[in-house]
Amino acid sequence: MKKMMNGIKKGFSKFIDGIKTRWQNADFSPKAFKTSVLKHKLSLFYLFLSLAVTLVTGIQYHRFRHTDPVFVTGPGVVDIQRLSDYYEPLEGTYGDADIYVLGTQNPDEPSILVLGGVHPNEPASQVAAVVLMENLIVEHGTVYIILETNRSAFSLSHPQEATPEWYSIETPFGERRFKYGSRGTNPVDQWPVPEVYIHQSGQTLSGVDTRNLNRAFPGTENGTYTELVAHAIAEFVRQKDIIITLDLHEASPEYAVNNALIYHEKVRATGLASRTYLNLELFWGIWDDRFAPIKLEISPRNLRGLTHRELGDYTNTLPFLAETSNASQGRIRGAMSESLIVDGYDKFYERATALGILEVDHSEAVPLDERVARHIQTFKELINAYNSLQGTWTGDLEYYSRGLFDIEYNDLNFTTVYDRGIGAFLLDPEDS
Amino acid sequence: MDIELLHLIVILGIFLIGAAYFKIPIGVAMMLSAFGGIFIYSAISAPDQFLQIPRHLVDGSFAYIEPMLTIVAAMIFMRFFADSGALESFTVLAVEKLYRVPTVLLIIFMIIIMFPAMITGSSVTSIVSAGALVAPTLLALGIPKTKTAGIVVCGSIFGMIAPPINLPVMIIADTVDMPYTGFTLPLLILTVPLAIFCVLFLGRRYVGKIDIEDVKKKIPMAIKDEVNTFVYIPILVLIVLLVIVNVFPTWLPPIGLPLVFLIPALIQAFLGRKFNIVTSARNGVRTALPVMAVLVGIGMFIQAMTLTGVRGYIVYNILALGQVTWGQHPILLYLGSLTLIPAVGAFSPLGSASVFGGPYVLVLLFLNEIVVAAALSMFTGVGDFIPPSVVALHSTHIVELDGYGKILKTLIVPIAVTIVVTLAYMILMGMYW
Ligand SMILES: [Zn+2]
Repeated sequence: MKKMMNGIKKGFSKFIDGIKTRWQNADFSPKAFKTSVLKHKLSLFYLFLSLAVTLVTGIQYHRFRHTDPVFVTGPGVVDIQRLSDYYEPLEGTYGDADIYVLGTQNPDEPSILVLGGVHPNEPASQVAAVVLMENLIVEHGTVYIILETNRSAFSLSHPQEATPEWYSIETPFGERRFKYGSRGTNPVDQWPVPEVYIHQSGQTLSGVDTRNLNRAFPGTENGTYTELVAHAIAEFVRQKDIIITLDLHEASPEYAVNNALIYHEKVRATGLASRTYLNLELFWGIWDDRFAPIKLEISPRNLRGLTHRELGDYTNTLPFLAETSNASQGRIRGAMSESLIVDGYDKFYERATALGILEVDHSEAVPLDERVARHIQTFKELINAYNSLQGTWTGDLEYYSRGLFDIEYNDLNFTTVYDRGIGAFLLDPEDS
Repeated sequence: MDIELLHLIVILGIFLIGAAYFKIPIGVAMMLSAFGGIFIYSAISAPDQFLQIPRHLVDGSFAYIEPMLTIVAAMIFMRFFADSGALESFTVLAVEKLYRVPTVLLIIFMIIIMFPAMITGSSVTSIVSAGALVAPTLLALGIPKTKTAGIVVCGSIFGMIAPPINLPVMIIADTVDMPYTGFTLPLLILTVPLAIFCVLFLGRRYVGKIDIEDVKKKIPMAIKDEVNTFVYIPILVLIVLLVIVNVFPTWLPPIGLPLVFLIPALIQAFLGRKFNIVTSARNGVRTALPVMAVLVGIGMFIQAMTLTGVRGYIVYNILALGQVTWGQHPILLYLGSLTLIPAVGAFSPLGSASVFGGPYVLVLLFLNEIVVAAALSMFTGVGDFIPPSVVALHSTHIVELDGYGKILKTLIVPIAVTIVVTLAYMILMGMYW
């Protein structure tokens, strides 16, 4: 050990001596400088080029991380809380997201939590949550809405997906801009990732999935940053005794679980899911033929870390997850553009539909208007299902005694949102 | 005609002209092609992307920041391992103990050659470190120059494909959202038998009876006086750490692979033959640089393909070709995996993996996706047998031959066997694994 320390000391002093000799022997005359520059001009060129790229992109990344989209607080919002109110260690960190509260906040009335932006590369998820937050008036019961559930993942774009940083939605008063983020937590907030991610259930996943919020539930107090955020959400659900949790997502068109509603196997959740499914499929599917068929899927027991599995297992809430089909997220899509995100037309998906290799129909555009409209109608039908089934749950006092939701929707439904466009239901930041 | 085809021609054209005609390094050629591709795309159809070019380039390469750090760290460890005499003394030890069982001896040598590429994921590491050190011993055993070079090339390539680190598989998995787990066994099943076959096929008949006294004169026996058994501690530490982070990740905080290599490297600095740590580390970084440049280049290259729609064009067309089937087997795709994937792999296995890997996995969904990705990585690796791959070109220096032609000739059977076995593995293992 002593020999080793001496070795380190000797090596270090030798290293310092080497630097000293070099410094003393260095020729600082302008002429020597000039020769040296000329000798290394190619290296210097590359050095400056990379410094320039670093500077330009560094500023751009910093600006993107620290610019927030404008969310207009809707007339129904009575309070804005934060995740850190329910799990303090998040306070002051980037991922401490806002929780919009609409309604009475009376714990004896029913409650629903809407999660938007668990995956920030799924735009309909956040935009639907924004539309709900800016429009709903809740007379009985409480609606909690998180717009940036994995806020950290909204602070960067996903490597190699070439997505734009922002996309805009047309409104009567101009454009509203939203962020197109990454699927996972920003490495700035969580680094390094382990080689293998062992979820607390024992499930083994690739290390990269430690950054995926929808693999981190129910979260732990001494886990990764993503697990802390998941824990905060689970803690919120427990403290507020949330009855229904609706987690909004999108999927790439080639993904098997698409245009789907996924539910936990709890009896009450199964009932709500079936009723919601019937309303969507039998009413909306017939009423408006643009409403594509919906898939009803039970949460797989062996797929761990997802909201619809863990919030169901670890809290009293009845969890649901809704998927719509997003061409801009897929691998078959052609060139990336804001139009692909918002207008939703892609020629390769059109051809893939013709080839018969997709389960969803992309023979025409699947615009953001349609995807957001679906999510909003899913929310409405879930509330309707609760209101109609709750009356039969007389034995279940924890639900029954809380009464029904009474929500004013401001004309929101699948057809109106699709026809008038999302923009018609977004508020003007100037007015508020 | 699709506009994406034009973009594909621009991107591939810049890359091929740069790499094949102007002979600029592969990584740099890829960066240039990515820049050119996005520039032309912006000019034709998306002027708003001009200002985004720097971000796209950085965004794309950032996907590989962790593999890049790992490769540097692994190369430094490899350099220390070689410079401390550990590698040499292990070679000498193997000859002394095993000269009576030449089959085992050859297999051990094959594993030594493969090892650096296994832990770094880069075939180049093997050929410049273990390959260069084992080759003189193989020659001393009486194996001719062409066969020795052939063995070193095979070892480097199979080492790159063998676990724990297989960069082509990582890239393929990354493009289809598939976790890089569960690959260890399938990759061992694919690589180990092929490696054993190749080394025995190429070398066994020359080492029928080893005259140990004669061989001892030709190999650096002196190393035995310079180092003792402690010199192997770092490699044991490395193996233990690799097992922990891959199998028992909860035992340690997530230290990251770079540290997993730097810890044993630090220990190695104090064991065995004295060597200049700074020079040695610098040499390690120097070997790592071209590989890192390739990763940066590929990252940008993929970003350019994703932005311009070329990725979708390729994916869609491979999916469409995949509809041509015999039974359920997409024969055209099988044919492509034998030809197109190695051909692009000759320039860069990682590039080939990034272009073809994802869509192939998507089409071959009726086969086990882990097996398919493993097999595809081998097809990209086959490209390394063919010039202008660095491995092919460097092998001539190791045995001091003028051209690669003769080496390639001795490799025809190993290449053919590798391709046939890999295809059979993909289809049969893929159906029943
Ligand atoms: Zn999602």
